Amino acid sequence: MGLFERNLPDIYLTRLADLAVNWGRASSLWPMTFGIACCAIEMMAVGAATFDMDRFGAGAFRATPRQADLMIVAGTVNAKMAHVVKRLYDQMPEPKYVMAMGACTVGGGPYWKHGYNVVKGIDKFVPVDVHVPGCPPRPEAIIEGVRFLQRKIMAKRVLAQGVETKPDFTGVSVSPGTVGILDPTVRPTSTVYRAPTALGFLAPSGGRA
Amino acid sequence: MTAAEALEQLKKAGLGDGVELFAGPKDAALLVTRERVKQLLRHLRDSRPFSCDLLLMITGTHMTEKRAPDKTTPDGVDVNGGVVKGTTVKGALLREAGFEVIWHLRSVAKHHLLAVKCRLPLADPRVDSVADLWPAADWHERETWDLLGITFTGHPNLRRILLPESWVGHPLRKDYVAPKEFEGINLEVDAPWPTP
Repeated sequence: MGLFERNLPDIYLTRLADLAVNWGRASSLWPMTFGIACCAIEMMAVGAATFDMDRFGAGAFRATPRQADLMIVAGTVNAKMAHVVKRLYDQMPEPKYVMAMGACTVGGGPYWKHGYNVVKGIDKFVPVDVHVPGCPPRPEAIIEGVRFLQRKIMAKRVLAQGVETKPDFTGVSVSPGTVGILDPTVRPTSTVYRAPTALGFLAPSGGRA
Repeated sequence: MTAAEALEQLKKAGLGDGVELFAGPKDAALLVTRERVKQLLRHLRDSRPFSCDLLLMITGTHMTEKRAPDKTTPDGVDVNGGVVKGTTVKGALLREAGFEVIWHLRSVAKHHLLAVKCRLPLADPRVDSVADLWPAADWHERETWDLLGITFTGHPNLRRILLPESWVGHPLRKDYVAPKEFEGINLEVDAPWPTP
C-alpha cells in the first residue's frame, strides 16, 4: 500500500480498511503455473473439476510471475533450479506468498541424505508462508494449505499500526488419512477466520490485539 | 541371439580377439577391451547377422574392488596351555576397482538384445565415443561423463548435461563428497533427522 504502509493510527476505520484489503487479497490468490516435479500432478488435480481450487478464489493459474500472488513450489528443487525459483520469486509483485508443497521442498524429502544436488528445503533461499508436507500431498492438503494462507493474510496489518497477530493455528486435518498441515493435537480456538461481513469480528476478543 | 551365440559369430568373422563372455546373474554380455570397443560396436551395427541398429542406452558404474571373504583361524591352545591367537588372512582379490561402461544394443529387424561391457582403470577412464555410429549416444555419453567422469574420446561436444556447467566433481563416483554450497545456494541439512 506504499505511502500508507502501516502508518495510520490503529483505529476502527483503518482496521476496517485493513480488513477490506486483506479480504481482497485472501479471496483472489492467483497461483503461478510452476510445476517442477511429480507434485505438479496433484497441483493440476487441485485446479481441475473434482477438487476445484477456484471455490477458494485460488484457481486462476497464471503463466507469468508478473500476474501471480502465490508461488506453489511443487517439486524437488535442485541447485540448478534454485536460481530459477529465486528469480521467479523476485519477479512477482508484492504482496507475494510462497507455498512449499511436498516433502522435497519442505526439507529435502527422499533426497535428504544422499541428494548431493537437492536443496534441503526451499526456505533456505525464499521466505515460505505455508509448508504442505506429503509425497505428494493430497489435493485436500493443498486446499487446506491455501485456506491456512488465507487465514494468515486476514491476520495481517496493511494500513494500521500495531502488532500483527499470529494466524490461528487450528489443527484440523481435512480428510481421514491425510497428514494435517498443522499439529492435529491443537484444538480450534476462538479466533477462526470468519466472514468479513460480521462487524463483530473487530470487537476486542481473545486472540486479537 | 544370446551373447554366447554372438561370440561364436564374432569368432567366425575373425573379430574374437579381446572379446570374452561375461556371465551375469541373469543375462550374458560381451566383455571387450577398450581398444576394441569402437571396432566391435561398428561391426555389431553394420554386419547382417547382428544389425543392431538401435542403441538403447549407455551406462557407467564405479566398481569397488571385490575380495573373497577373509579367512580367520580360531584361537587355539598350545602345549603349555596358553592361548594362541588365531590369524586372519585377507581374501583374494576377485575384481580390481575401476569403471565399467555398458552399451545396450537392440536390433529392430532381428529382435534381439545385446550388451557390451568394457572395464576401464580408475586412474585413466577413457574410451572411444560412438556418437558417430548412433546419434543417440551423444547425450548418453555426456551424462556418463557428467556423473562419473568417464571421457569419451572423439565426442563432438563433451560437456555436462544434467548438472550445472560450473559443478565440481562427478557425483556417482564412490569417493565423491557432496558440496555444502553451490553458487550461493545452501545445500546443507539443517538438523539431523530426529530418531524416535
